[in-house]
Amino acid sequence: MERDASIIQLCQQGHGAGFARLVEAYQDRVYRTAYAFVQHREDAQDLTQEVFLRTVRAIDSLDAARALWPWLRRVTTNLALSYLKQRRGHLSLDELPEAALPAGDTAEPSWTLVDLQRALADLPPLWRIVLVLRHQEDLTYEEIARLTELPVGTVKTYLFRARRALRARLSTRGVE
Amino acid sequence: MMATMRCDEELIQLYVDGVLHPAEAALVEAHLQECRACRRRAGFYKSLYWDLSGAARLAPEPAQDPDALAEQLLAEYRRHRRPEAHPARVRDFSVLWLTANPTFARPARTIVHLGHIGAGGLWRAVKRRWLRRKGGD
Repeated sequence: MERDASIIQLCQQGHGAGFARLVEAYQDRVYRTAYAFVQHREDAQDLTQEVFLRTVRAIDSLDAARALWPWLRRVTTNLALSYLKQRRGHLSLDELPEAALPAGDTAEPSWTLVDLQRALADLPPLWRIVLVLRHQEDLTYEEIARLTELPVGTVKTYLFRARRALRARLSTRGVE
Repeated sequence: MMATMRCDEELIQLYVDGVLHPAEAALVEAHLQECRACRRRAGFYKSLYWDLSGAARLAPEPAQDPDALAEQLLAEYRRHRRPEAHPARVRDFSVLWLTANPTFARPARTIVHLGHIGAGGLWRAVKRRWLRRKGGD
C-alpha cells in the first residue's frame, strides 16, 4: 500500500520516477492478466499499454490511500471485454461449439500446463474471463459479477460450464 | 439420519471451490465417501483449480521495454496536462487585455495619445520659429 501511495503521488506530481516505478511494479502483472483474457501475445501487449495510458489520464482521480491493482484489474478487464467484442464481431462470447462438450467420465486425467493453456484458449472468452477472475484473481462471484456487469447467476453458470469443458478436454487428453 | 444426494457435478465444483454453506458441504462430503466417480471428479477439480491459480505464468514473456513504456507514460502525462497550462494562460491574458481596452475606447485613446505628442511638437516648432525670427530682427 505504501508503495502504491508513493507511486500515485509521484505520478500526480509528474515525476518521471513515478511512471518508471508504476511500470516496474505492474507491467508484468497487467500483461499476464491481459494475456489470460485474450490469449494473444501482441494483443495483450497492446492492451497493457492502453491500460497504463488510461491510468495516466485518470491519475488525478486516483486515491493514494487505495491499492492500485484493483483499478488496473478493472481497466484491464473492461478493455479486454471491449477488445473481444470488437474482434469477435457478431460471434458469441459465451458459447462453446457442441463438439467441445464433455464426452463423459473417462480415465484418470493427466495434463501438462501446455494442455491447460490450449484448453483455456479454446474456451469462449467470457467463460475464460470469469474463470481467470475466480481462480487467478481470487475474486468472489459477486465481485466478478460487478466487474463484468453480468448477473451473479450468469457468472456461476459460466464458471460451471468452463470447468466442465476443461474437464472434458483434459480428461480426453488423459485417455490419449 | 442425514439426507443423501445424487451425483451433482456443479455441487462438486462448488464444494471444491469452498463456497458451499456448511450444511451443503456436509452433504457433499457424505456423498463423496460413497461415490467413487464423484471422488474422482473432486480430485480433478482440486488439481484444476490449483493449476488455474498459477495460470498467469503460462503467458509468453512480453517483448515490451519497460523504460520505453515509462517514457511514453510521462509524455502522455505532459500532453494531457498541457492544454490547461501554458496556452490557457496566454489566452487568459489576451482576454484580460481586450476586456480592459474595449474596441470603442481604443481609437479615442490613440487620438489622445497622438494629441499629446502633436501638441508638444507644435509648441516646440512654434518656439523655434519665434526664436529664429527674433534673432533675425
